[in-house]
Order: sequence, then C-alpha cells, then structure tokens
Amino acid sequence: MARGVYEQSLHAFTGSRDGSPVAAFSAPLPPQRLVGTASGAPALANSRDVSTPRLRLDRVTVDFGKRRHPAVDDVSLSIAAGEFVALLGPSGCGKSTLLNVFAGFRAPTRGHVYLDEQPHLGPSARCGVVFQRHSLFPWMTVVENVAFGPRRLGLRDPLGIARELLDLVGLGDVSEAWPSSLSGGMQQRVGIARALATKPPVLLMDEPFGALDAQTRSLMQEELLSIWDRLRPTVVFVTHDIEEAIFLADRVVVMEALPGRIAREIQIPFPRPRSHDIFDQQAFIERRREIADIIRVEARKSFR
Amino acid sequence: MASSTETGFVRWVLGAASIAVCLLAWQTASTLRLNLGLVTFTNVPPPTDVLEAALALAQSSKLFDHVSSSLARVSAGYSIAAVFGIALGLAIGRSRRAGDFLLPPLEILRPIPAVAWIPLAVLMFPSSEASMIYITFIGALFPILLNTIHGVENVDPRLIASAKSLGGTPSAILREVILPGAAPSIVTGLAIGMGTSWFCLVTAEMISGQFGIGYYTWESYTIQNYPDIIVGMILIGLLGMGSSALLRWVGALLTPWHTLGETRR
Ligand SMILES: Nc1ncnc2c1ncn2[C@@H]1O[C@H](COP(=O)(O)OP(=O)(O)OP(=O)(O)O)[C@@H](O)[C@H]1O
Ligand SMILES: [Mg+2]
Repeated sequence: MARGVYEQSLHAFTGSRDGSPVAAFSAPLPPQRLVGTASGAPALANSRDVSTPRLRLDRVTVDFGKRRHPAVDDVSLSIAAGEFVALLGPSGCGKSTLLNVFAGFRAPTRGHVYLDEQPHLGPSARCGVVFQRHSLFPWMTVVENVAFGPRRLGLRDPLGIARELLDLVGLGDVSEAWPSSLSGGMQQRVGIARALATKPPVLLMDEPFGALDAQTRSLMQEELLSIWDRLRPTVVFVTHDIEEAIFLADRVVVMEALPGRIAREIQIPFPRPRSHDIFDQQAFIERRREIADIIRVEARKSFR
Repeated sequence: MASSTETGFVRWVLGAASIAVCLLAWQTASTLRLNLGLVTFTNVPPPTDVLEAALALAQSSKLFDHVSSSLARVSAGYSIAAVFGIALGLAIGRSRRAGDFLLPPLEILRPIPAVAWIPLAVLMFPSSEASMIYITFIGALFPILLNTIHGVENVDPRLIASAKSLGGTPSAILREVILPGAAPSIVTGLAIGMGTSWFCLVTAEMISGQFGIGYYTWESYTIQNYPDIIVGMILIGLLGMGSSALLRWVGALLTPWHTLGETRR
C-alpha cells in the first residue's frame, strides 16, 4: 500500500525515511512547535522504557477559591511516552480540571507541569484535545476541521493529511459534510481525527465517549485502541466508566474527591491488542471489583 | 403532496382577497370622503389616484434622483456603521480592557434615539448631506455593535480552546473561530441595523433634504400633492424590504452552516 501524506510527513518530521509513525509519536519533541524539526529530533524507537516522562505533574494544586477544598490537591503524576493512562473517579473529583492543566488551558494554582521535562505553559499543538461533547467548528466541513491544525502549523498538504486521517477513522465518505449533519459517534471520530492531525505526542481525552450509546461506545473503544496501536501517542483518557478504563489503559489512576487527589494507581498488564472478550476473564473481573471498591468508598465520601 | 399545494393555493387566494378588501374599503372611504370624527378620509386620496401618481412618477426623471440619493446616503451611513460596529464589537467582545475603556461612552449614547440627534447633527455638519449620513450611521451603529458583542461573547469557549490546541495563533483564532462563530449574531445585527438606518434616513430627509424619498414624501405634503405622499410611503417600504431581503440573502450565503442547522432542526 502506498504511503499516505500523513505518514510521509511523519517521516519528514522525524528525519528518518524508514521510521515508523510509532517513532514519531514517542520521540521526544522540541520545546516549541512540531514544524521546523525536519532536521532535528533524533528518532528513538518506541521509548516507553526511556526514563524521562513525557508528561509530569509536580505537586499540582488547583484551587478555584470557592470551596473549602481545592479541586485538585497536591497531585504528582508521571506519564511515560506512549503510555495509555485512564483517569477514573467519581463526578467532581477534578478529572477535567487535571486534564485542562495537562492541556495548558488552566495554570495550576501551585505546582508545575512539564511536557518532555520542559515547563508546559499554555495550549499548543503538542497536546491534542478531545472533549466529551464534540467541539468541531460548525462553519467548516468535516475535512476542513481536520485540516485546520496541519494548516495552522504550515504542514505540507493539510487536506491530504485530513483525508488520510478520516479514512483511518472510517469517515472518508463524509469528508465534505457539515459536522451538524453527522451522528454523535461520527462527530466524536472526526474530533479524534482532528486531534491526531497535528501529530501531537500527547492526546488528552475528556470522556470522549460519554455521550454515546453503549453499542457505539464499545465500537469506538476498539477503534481508539487500533489507532493508538498504529500511532502510539501518549494518551490521558478521562472516564468514569470502570470497564472502559481497564479495557483501554496501561495504567488506571483512580482519583478521590474533596479534595481531588490520586487514591490509587493500578497497572493493567493485559496483553495487546485487546478485544472485548477480556471482559469475561477472571483477571479483568478482579481488577474491576478492586477499582469499584475504591470508587464506592470515594463516592460515598463526597456525599457527606 | 397534492394537498399541500392545494392548501398553499387556498392561503394565497385568502391573502389576495384580504388585500383586495382593504383596498376596496380604502377606495370607498376616500371617494365618499368619510368622516368618522376621530379620523377622517376627507383629504386621503383613493388608491386609483395613488396608482396614477405612481405611474406619473415612474415616467419622470425625479424618481431616479430621489431613490438614488436616498440609496447613496443609506449605503454610506450603513457601511460606516457596519465597519465600526463590527470592529468595535470584536474588540469589546474579545478584550475586557477594550470593553472597560470603550463601553462607557457608548452606553451613555445608546439610549438616545438617532432621530433626537437630528438638530445637533445639522449644527455639527456644515453639509446637510453629511448630517443625514451621520444620522443613518448612528441609527445602524448600535444594533450592529451590540449584536456583534453578544455574538463574540457567546462563541463556545471549547471551540477557542480546541483551536489553541491545534496551533491557532490569536489572529487565526479571531479570523477563523471568533468571526464565523459570531457571524449569525452579526448578521442579525446587520438586519436590524438596516431597518433602523432607513427609518432614521427618512426622518432626516424630511427635515433637511433636497432630494430623497423622505424629502419627496414631506414635500408632497407641503405642496398638497396628497397622492404622492402615499407613493413615497410605498417606495420607502419597498426599499426597506428590498434591502432587508438582500441582507438576508447575503447573510445566508455567508453562513451556510447556520441556515443548514436551522432547516434541520
Ligand atoms: N471554573 C470553575 N470554577 C469553580 N469551580 C470549578 C470550576 N471548574 C471546576 N470546578 C470545581 O472543581 C471540582 C472538580 O471539577 P471537575 O470538572 O474537574 O470534575 P470532574 O472530575 O471532571 O467531574 P465530572 O466527572 O462530573 O466531569 C468540582 O467541585 C467543580 O465544581
Ligand atoms: Mg469532567
């Protein structure tokens, strides 16, 4: 199969002709922008074992000043390049707040955020974001939405990149449609394609499948995993669905509320690629029960 | 299908009949010089006279002079108002500083109806042409400005956040997110502004014009050419309606996603 523009430009970006897209996503990135690095950035192989984390929170506190407890209290967390982390917890425990800190949308009240060990000071194309309700630009067609990021970064052939990503998420046929004419699941897939189009090393997702019906949701989970398998971005995935978290993630970070803190971190060692069959396995059921117990205690706490 | 075209036809017939009844009542009242005490038709010309006067005006060169000078004034005042209103609205809606600095004088001027500006405008501008353009400008400015501010402030912050995380610079976000996001509201402001600027123009022309539809209407009164008053009124209505339709058409052209959303809903 001929290589598409998207993967070709990934190679241009890592400076290696034969490098896989995997290398591009997990290689350390230059501090400023994705573009202009054609000559730079050594292409590391899948660097999940490299000791410097891709994302790091150092004693981050976010206090809106309206409650007795800060929304996020003294949270430290390291995420390796190419790792898939699920943030799980009861409503109001600060998952979205933490994700906004990762994205650079909100500066922490105290503490620091690092992206590739550089202070992360504001939103940039190095962190793609997908929200729960789609945030596609209503005035751009589907393909224009996906091409927006590549165009802003001055990448070559933004529309080509966009078409390729739309094919990847199975939406090649609707590329000229307005977002409002698509179903919720399709809109969310376009959102994922758009977030991937700038080839961000980090993909931040805030309950991206929360508004979908169970059937669509489980299809989308499998699709996300297959995309992640091909491109290996570092993913932070917010959800309050325990099974979704275990199915997708390498590591589930369970949060507690009032104040928002990390209650437990649980490694999910299941082999990949995963399919929904693992829902029936004993190991899966045990993990689910373990996490459910923690959450139940936390949820009760926040009702007091 | 057949039934819907049928009801469409019935509605059309009913509408036409209703207009015919009104015209007939007017004709009767005028020819009988009906005096109801509170309101009198003694000096009201009947529709047939109005039609005659309209045909006469259509054949004279005066029609073009009046219509073109009114159109020129409205286009000038309205265009300036559109540019200022949208630019100020974007600045105020985007930046709190700009809002804090620019809004107070605007808030003070806003409750003053544009028509109340006429005497001062005549004093301020040596040319009566400029004073009339100024009045249409003032009339259109506030609806455009306020709707632009409203539109800009209501752009979904998640869209702005998304654009930032896709590498959007502030100027790109202004052009590609804020402006289209506020566009439906701006178009509404432009449509309201079009109505008020015609209203203000006609009033201003009655007071200080030499050509123009408003002047023509008022002059017809002073020289007791009563059928021409109604011709002028109808012309004003047609011009206002035409410019609104033009604006709606351009607006729909500029915001295709918006009209699509409306028809779907
Ligand atoms: N902009 C804000 N101003 C004030 N308080 C806020 C703001 N955003 C969030 N909070 C508060 O911070 C806490 C954490 O909110 P957050 O949205 O991060 O929770 P969450 O875990 O994402 O919840 P959910 O699962 O319901 O989305 C809540 O108590 C919320 O009320
Ligand atoms: Mg949330």
